[in-house]
Amino acid sequence: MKPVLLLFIFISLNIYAQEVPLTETELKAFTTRIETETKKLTSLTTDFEQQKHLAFLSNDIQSYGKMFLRADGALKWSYTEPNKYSVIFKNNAIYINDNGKKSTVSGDQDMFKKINHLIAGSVSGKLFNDNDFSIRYFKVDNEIKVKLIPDNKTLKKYLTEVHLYFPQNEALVSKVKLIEPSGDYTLILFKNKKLNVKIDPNIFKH
Amino acid sequence: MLKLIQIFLSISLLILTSCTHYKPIGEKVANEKSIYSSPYFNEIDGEFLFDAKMQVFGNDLNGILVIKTIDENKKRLALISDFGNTLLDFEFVNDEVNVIYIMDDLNKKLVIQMLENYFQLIIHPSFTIKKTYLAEEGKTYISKLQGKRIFLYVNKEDQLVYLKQSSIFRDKVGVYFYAKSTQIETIQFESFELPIKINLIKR
Repeated sequence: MKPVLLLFIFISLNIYAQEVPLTETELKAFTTRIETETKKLTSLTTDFEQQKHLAFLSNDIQSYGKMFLRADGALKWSYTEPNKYSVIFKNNAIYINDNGKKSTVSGDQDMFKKINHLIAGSVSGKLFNDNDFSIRYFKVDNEIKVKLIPDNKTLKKYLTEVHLYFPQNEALVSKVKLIEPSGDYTLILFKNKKLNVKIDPNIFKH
Repeated sequence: MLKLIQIFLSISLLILTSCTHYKPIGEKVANEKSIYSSPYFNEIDGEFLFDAKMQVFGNDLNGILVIKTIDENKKRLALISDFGNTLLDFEFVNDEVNVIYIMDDLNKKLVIQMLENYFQLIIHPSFTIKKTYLAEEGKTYISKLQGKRIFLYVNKEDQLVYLKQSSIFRDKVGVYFYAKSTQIETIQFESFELPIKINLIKR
């Protein structure tokens, strides 16, 4: 066998070896921890870095911002760089502020609910009890990777897989990878997470 | 018979008045070259990112437009939402457009055709010159793309500043290019047939 081929097989095996399914005990411990912690969750604020990967581009497209989540489901996704742009998901509506220009979107309610649910659920870990996805759990280095495969027809049009990464012994997601049917993906990294801090009500005002 | 003459005269007048948009300002001169190469998006391996602000049938839409020049005949163009999901991904090879991906909501024959045509006008690499007109501000080259007449308005440095697509009856589309040297800064696209405007600002 050619050395190059051997090397390729070794690398491939190594990649797969890194992703180990959780044992039943590990899975129970992990889901119990997430469930306990998310029950206590009244609010979450975090910085985020968004990296859009397009196969034909040499560099990913980066955006930065802040995210605010309230226990009642209100969610604000606020981009600060390179542009100021925010979206509030609240009371079954989407409020957009595009650098001062405000608008409201009342579109497909089913789709709206799914987007809101996906974002809020990804961050808080509440997606695990969702009927819209088939879920598998893995250990990858020092993280737990939760692989969600949409079963829902609407979601399948937009996403083939969602990967949530949890650092060992933590209940909050540190990164989310949203993989599209084209193979392109968006990776969102969360930093400076703050749990259960009081969020100024003005944050959710439009 | 008199009625027939009246109808004929009315139609002739209509065609004459409706064709004023079809003739460029200036004096017709001999073509100095046979091809006009667009100064934009032709650098091989060049990658361009724009914030896209679109007004489509009264709705405001935002996104990011990505253009990559693969080689002299091939380009990729993708439109993504602010949240990151890909809305469309087209490949332009010479005069042909291939759909690599299109979001399900946009996957309608008429919409795809319209998007292909609009984006092709923005990134098309070169145009065959059929006629040249000389005016005070620069030149107008007349070419053809998508079976319709293309007016390329260039300044005294031969830099493309405005592209207009017209049929014999009316103007179809106008595209303004604002650049520093060959580095494009802003593109303003407007359809004269449909309520569609696209403003692209270099990111």
